[in-house]
Amino acid sequence: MSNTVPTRRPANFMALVRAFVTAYTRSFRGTLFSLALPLLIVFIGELSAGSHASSLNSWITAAIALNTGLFSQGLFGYAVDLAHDRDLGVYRRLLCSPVTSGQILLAQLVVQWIGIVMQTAVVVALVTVGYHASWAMIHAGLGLLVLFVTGNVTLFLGQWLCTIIRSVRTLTAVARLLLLGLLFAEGFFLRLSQWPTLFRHLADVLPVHLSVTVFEASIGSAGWAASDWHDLLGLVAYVVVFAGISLKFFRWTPA
Amino acid sequence: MTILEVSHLHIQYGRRVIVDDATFVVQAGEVFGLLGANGTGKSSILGAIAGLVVPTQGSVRVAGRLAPSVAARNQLGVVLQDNAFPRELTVYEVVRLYQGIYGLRWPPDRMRQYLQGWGLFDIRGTRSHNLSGGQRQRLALALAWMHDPALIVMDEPTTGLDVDSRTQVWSRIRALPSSSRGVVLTTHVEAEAETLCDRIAVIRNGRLAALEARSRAPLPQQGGL
Repeated sequence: MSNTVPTRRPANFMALVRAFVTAYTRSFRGTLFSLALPLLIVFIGELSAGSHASSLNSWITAAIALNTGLFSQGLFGYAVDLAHDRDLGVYRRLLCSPVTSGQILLAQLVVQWIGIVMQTAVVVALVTVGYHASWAMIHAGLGLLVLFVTGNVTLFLGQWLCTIIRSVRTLTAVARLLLLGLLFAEGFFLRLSQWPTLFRHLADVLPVHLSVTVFEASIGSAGWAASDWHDLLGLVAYVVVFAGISLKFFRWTPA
Repeated sequence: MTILEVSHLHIQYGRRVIVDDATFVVQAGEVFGLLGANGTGKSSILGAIAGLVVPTQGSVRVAGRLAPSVAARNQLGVVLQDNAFPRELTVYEVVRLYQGIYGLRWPPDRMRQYLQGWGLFDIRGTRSHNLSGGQRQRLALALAWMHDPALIVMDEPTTGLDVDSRTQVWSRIRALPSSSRGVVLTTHVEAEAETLCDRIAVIRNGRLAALEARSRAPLPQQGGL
């Protein structure tokens, strides 16, 4: 077998993106948390609304579905897959080739963002086409801004978890606990108003509560207030902290 | 022509010295073996060559390029002990991924020929996590060789393989060196070093205890693929 000398080019970033997209679309966790879970929440929300269904309710359900989908994707779809591939040595092998860790990270984030856009498109299509929710009450620009910030919170939260936890098993267990906690903070199991004051105050500063608040504000039921900018800034602070720690301390090679 | 130059390499984790003042060169056309028991520092030397380990002191040059750098890694083909590829990708897709990384564009015929040459064509649709040890190793070798690197490094390339797969990998490795390419491999099996290597460095406690040239032993008979 002969092999002629090929033309050498700089590492091809698109090759990484293409491969990660293929892996993502075939990943059970990726599909489940970016598509199936938000859709399920919309269906259940619309079913439980029954005859009281309205455009406002549909959009609020969509906001909760997207928020839950984003956090689930960040914690499981992204973090666990990332930790698993790192543990196997997938990234170590890639780093022996002329790609840099920055290119791998960027390619992973691009792929996750493709998933987030797909997730959003499917949920929005379902509530507008399937449940006839009106666009009139939506602040599209604010909604996209909230989506962008929340998406980055969830992805860098996942990256941060992979940074501080090296074991895949431990990470999976912690991600499950965190998701459960986040769902509590979102008021999934018990309305926040029914919580003891201390827990309520704690939930108020958690990213999942901040994001669901600004998502709902972008729908326009009560208008976008100054406090919503504060909540959005709080989310940006989470992005800065999680991203800062991850970019400085994340290791791509197994422990 | 010097393909690899390892100069006064020193690797230390905290107070623990892993590699102590290792110096050697590898010439084109040569298979160079790092022989030693587990934990003697062979893989750390290989890691420094592959750009995965940053030396505490000393330097590594691959085809004149200082490691760890993208330019040096462009000259390298690497076979790690635990060859891991993205789980959800098929053999064909993994090869495509690394082709893209190295900027290679092969027409379908060339791709088919390459996969056939490495015995991968019939399993091109198999996802990487379903490959046997021997198939995985063949894929790793195919990836290491595809961009015609100046140096191929292999970390215990036959660990965990059955006799037939090992013999098959050995014959592949014997065919790797050329007038413009060198090979470095680690092993803890003396017979493997004797079969594959032109020169062997014996590593003890992170130091090069001996450096000897040998004539290769003949390959054992293969039981079939």
